[in-house]
Amino acid sequence: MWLGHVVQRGLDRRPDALALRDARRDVSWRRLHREVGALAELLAGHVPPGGRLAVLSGNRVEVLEAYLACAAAGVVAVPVNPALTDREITDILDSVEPSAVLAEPGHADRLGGLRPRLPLLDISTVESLPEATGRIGARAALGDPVAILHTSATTGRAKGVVVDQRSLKLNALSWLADVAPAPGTVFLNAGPLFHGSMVIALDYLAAGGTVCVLDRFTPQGCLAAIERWQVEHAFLVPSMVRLLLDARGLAGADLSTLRLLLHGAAPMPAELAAEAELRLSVRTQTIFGITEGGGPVLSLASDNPVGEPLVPGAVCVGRPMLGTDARLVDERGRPVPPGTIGELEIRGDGLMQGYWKNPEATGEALHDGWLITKDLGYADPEGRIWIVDRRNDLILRGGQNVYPAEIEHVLRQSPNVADVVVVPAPDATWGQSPVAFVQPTAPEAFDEAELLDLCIAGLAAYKRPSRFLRIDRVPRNPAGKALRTELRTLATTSTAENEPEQAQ
Amino acid sequence: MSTARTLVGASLDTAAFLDRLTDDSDFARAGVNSGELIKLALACEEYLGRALDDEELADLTSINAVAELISAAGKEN
Repeated sequence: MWLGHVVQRGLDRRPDALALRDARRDVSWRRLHREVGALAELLAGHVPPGGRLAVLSGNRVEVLEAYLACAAAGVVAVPVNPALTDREITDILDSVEPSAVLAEPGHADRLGGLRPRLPLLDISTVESLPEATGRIGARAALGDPVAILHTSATTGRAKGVVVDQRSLKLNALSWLADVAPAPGTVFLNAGPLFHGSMVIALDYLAAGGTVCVLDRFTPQGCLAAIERWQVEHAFLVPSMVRLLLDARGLAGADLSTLRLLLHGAAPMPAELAAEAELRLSVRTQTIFGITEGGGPVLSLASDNPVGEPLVPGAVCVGRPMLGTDARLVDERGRPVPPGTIGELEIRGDGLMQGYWKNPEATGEALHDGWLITKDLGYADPEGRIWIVDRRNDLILRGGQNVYPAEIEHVLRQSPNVADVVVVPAPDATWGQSPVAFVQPTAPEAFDEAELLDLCIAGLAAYKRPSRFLRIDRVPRNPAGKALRTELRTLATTSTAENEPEQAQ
Repeated sequence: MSTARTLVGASLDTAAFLDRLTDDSDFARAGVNSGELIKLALACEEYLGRALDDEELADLTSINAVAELISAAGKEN
C-alpha cells in the first residue's frame, strides 16, 4: 500500500528520473515500476500471501526492489546477512520458514546445500523478467508485516523484528520533516541493505530522491561514488567516517556536491563530527535509530549547539522525530525530571509489531505501547536527549550489534572452558570490539587457538573477539550474575596497555 | 616477519588470527572480514605514501599479494 504508492508516485511525476543506481546499472522510476511489478508477480507464484521470502544478497539495487515487490505481492521480506555462518543462516531459515529465497548466484550455491528443496530465485535476473500482466496491487495493508529484520540477541540467537508498512510510512514522513531532502536529492546508501538502516533508503525514495547503492563500504569506493554520482546526502556510521577521513584518496576527491552527512548506529565522538564538517565541508546530523523502533527515532542537526554533557562521555542524540514520543523513566517506569538519568522509552507508529514467534521477548520489549530501548540517558532543559550508557551488554562494533551471549554460547562448546564472559573494549577504528574473558577448566587448558577455531566456525567474522584473555575466575555476584562492569574496566585497561604494541 | 605480514597482522582485529594465514591464504575464504580488509588497504596506502587504485584494492587478496604490491612499488618487503 504505502510502498506501492511511493513507486506509483515516482512513475507519475518523474518517470525518467533516476530512482536507483549502483555499480552495475541505473534504474529510472519507469523501470523501477516495471521491475517491481514483474518481481511481485514472480513472487506471488512462489510465496503465498503473508509467506516469507528470504533475501540473501550483497548490496545491489535489486534488494531494494525486492522490498518493494514483497509489499506489492503481500509477501514478507526476510533479508539475511550473507556474512553469517551456515549455522546462523540455518537458525534464521528455521525460524521464518521461507517459501522461497531470492539470492545472488554466489550465495545460491551455498543455500542449495543448506536447503536443497527451497525454491531459489536469481536476484540478478530481475532486470530481465517479463513485464507483469497486471498492475502493482495493494494486497498488503498498512498493518500487514512487510519485512522481518534480524538483530543480534541476548539469547545468542537472532531475533526477527516484524516491520509493517505503517512503520515505514511514519519513518518516511518523519524523515521529510526532520531531514527535509528536496525531491531529486541524491542519497548514498553505504550500509548493508539487510540492516535496519535500510529504511533510510526507502525514506529517500518516498521523498522522490535517487538512492545510490554502494556494493560494500570501502573508503576509496565511497569517495569515488560521491564524486561520480554527485551525492548530496550520505548516511555513515562513525567508523566509516573515520576511515573516510584517513583515506589517502580524500585529498584528491571532489566532494563538492555533498552537503549533509548523516551518522548513526553508534555514538559519534564530537571531535570526529567536527573534523568531518571541517574537512568535508558538510553539515552533519545525528540519527539515533533502533530496529525495534522502526529505524530513526531521534535526530540532532549540527547547527543546534548542545554544550557540554552533564555526565562525562554522554552523547546528545537530539529530539524525537515527527510521530515519535520519547521519555526517560525510573526502574518503576515513572518519568524522571530533566537532568536525571533514566531508561529511554519510545512510542509511535514506527514501532515493530513484535519479535517473530517470540511473545516472551516481545512482552519484555513492549509495554503499554512503549518500546524499552535499554539505553540509559537524561533529558537536558531544552528537551534534548543524551545517551549515557546501555543497560544491557550490547557491543556496538562499527555500527553492527553484537551480543556477548552469542559469543559466550559458542565458546562454551569447548570442554576446556569452565566459564566465559564477553564484554566490549574500546577500539580506535570500530568504537568497540568484543573481548572474551575465559576461565579454563585448568590453567594449562587455556588454548587460544582452539577458542579462535570455535569462533571461526560458529560466528560471523565481525563478531569474533579481538582478544581472548585468561582469567582465574569470572567475577560473579552472590546471585551468580557476572560482574561485567568490572570486566569492562579490565578490558579497557588492557586495551590501553596494548595500544603501543598495536601501533607498531 | 615480512613487511606484508606485519601490515596484515596490524589490520586484523584478532591478532592471533594471523597464525591461521599462510602467505597464499585467500583472505575472504580464510575468514578475514571486510573491516579488516579496509584497514589493510589504508595501512598499505600509508606505507606506500599514496592512494591505491581500484585494481590494486581488488588485488589485496593474500599476504603474497600484499608483498607483490609492495615490491612493485619499489619498497622493501
